[in-house]
Amino acid sequence: MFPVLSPEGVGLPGLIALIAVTHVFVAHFAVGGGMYLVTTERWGRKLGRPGLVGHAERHSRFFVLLTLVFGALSGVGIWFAIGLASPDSTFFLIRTFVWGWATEWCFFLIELTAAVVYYKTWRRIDDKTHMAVGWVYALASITTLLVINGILSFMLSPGAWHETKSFWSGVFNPTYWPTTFLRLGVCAFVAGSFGLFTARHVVADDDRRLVIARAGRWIVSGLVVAAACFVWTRSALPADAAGILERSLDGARGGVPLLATLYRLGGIAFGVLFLVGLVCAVAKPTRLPRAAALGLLALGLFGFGCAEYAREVLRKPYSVRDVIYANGIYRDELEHHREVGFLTSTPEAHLLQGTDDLAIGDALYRRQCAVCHTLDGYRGLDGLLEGWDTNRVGTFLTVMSKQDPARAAIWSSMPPLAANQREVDALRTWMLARLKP
Amino acid sequence: MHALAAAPAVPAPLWLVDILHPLTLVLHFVAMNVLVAAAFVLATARSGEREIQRVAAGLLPSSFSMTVTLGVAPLLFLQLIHGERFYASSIHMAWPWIAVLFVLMGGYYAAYAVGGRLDKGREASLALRALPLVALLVFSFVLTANVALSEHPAAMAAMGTPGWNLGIGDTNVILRWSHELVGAVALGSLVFFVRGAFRRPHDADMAATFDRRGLAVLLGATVVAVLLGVGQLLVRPSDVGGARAGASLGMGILLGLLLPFLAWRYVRKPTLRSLVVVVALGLLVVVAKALLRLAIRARLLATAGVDAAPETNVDVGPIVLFVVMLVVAIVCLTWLVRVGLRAARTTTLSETP
Repeated sequence: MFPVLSPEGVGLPGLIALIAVTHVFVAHFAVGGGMYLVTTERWGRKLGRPGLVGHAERHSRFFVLLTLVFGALSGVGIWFAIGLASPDSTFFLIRTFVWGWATEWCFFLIELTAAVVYYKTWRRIDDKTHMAVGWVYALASITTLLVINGILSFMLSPGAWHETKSFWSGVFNPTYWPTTFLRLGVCAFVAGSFGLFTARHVVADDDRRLVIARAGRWIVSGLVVAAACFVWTRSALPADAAGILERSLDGARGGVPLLATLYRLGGIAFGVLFLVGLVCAVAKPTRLPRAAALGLLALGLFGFGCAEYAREVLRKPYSVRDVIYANGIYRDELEHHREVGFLTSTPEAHLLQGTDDLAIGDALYRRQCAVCHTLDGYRGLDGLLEGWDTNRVGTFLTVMSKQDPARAAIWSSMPPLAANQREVDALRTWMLARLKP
Repeated sequence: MHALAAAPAVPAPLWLVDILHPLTLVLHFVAMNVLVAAAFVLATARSGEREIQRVAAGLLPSSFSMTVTLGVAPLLFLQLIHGERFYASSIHMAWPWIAVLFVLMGGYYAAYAVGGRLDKGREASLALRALPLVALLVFSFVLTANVALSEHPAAMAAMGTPGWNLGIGDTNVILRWSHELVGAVALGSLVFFVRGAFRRPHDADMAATFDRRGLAVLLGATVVAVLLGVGQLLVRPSDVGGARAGASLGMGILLGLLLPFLAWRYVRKPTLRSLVVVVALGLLVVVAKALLRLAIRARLLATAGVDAAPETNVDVGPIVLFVVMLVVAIVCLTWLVRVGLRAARTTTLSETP
């Protein structure tokens, strides 16, 4: 039984989102950027333009600083954060995919060593060997993506794993290939965006024009691939997730309005990026102001954040679809909790001996709701309960505590309540006490 | 939560995890020792010792990256077997646990900043030079506190609201942390002998300077580490009871005391052979440290009545995948290291007047 952390303010999801989105953005840069670096070097050497090779060299310093320092540490940060917020789900994933992560680690080692050697050996080894080191880095980093995406996509669509419980069915799940190619497209556009950012350091106008146009082509082609694969991913989504997405976009009952908002905001961000990339690729400007390049990176990060957030929302109410709910309760144990009570198996069981319903309700909130909701901060309950009355609280708890089809249509992204009648009653008392007069 | 009952079995034979966990922990310790020693030397070097500073700063970024990346695997195996307790202890000290990442990131960037300044021939202030060490002190303290707390389930059970519980009073953590850290400085100092050996053909004086610094750090840190180790033994003798822990401890003490003597002999008469012996001995001490660490955990958990041998359900396919990829990685790493060393030699030659 894990202790429960129930922070206020940004809450755990906010904390995870902060670390995860920035890390994953940089991680995609680490993959796409590796390919960008070595192909830029090759291109420069082929054309016999030292300015282009010099761009690759300067870019590699920026690349190493960002990916090896921030990327590596924020990656560990994700481990730390998910272990705090969702220890059950993390433990489940570790036990299921330990060899996937161990395999990924082998490629991390190659990736890290290759990045350092590539960066440190400019003009110190022959060109062919230097580019070979670059290719080793690029391939190793792509392999890390191939592995980790097996686990990420599994969480969204375990598919045949439910029957086989096999590592391979888990990795090669229904959304594995579409999301893998989608992510590769994203890697390309992120690498292009960073390429635009460092292009301003290219000295000669001619070279800079070439670099800007090429970075633009990376952005455009990456976004085209990502968009096509997004359509493919949609078609491979589990039926319930696809239904939620459809209803959300149609603004229909049972949809998640936030999902539609994320979808649109992400679409706008990527649309703007596509246009800028296209202008760079076609018009081949000689300069791109620093502020504009930074703005594009920020826009990319924003769009990326929307997409990652939308993926999280689509997976709700589960952290692993049809296995573990977002609050760490296994689906298979739901009925057990509804029969014998949830708190009976927690350190708060002693509360059930007394009559303090507020304390029981508070314990239930902390164990089942606080992973997504704060009281008055991020997704704050006080705000969400505004305008509610006794009847609405009653209806809500009835729907959430029964296997009620209505739940799917109203609060589809929330895990069902795992509690017996005594606990539901206590939670009702606690919720009513929080209602503002 | 209650769901732990339904957590899947470990998809590997436990003997394999028992091999891989210490093996990866040793690799992590090697990089970590170099990192801590380099940070220590950088922070304590006098302002005129530019070359010592430059070498120490040059070691930091790659040893930082290697320590973090090599730490992923032992962390993975720790979670695989001890996930229940490790997540619980992390939650108890959630805020420091998360905050140290940002501290470490600051130290990491400071290492690059120092290196950049020194490479440009500029001076790096003492405050800037000390930042990586301070970051490591803070990070290692919280990490030690977390791992130590995870080995004391009774202390966790008695704790109140999670978030800020470092468990300092319950787990002998301060002695453990300081002993491990000072021990890391001692072992990591061997890297200066290696750097000296690379330098010797071109600049014998500078090589001797590296050797002397390495020896001074090794001797000083060994004395302090021994005192702290004795303190730990006196405070909690039961922690190192049992055959496994006792043997690892004995091996560590014996080799650890032999090391400064051999290092002193090497500095007096530096030969490649004696350097290899010193480094190999240092590695053996690291192995003893890692084995001792795991033996202490097993003993503490057994004393607490925890059955740390989870159910297994061996799945051969993914294990084969891992082993094949590990071989691929070793081949690639060997080639990359050779390329890097070749470049380093070329650079040293070209920099020699």
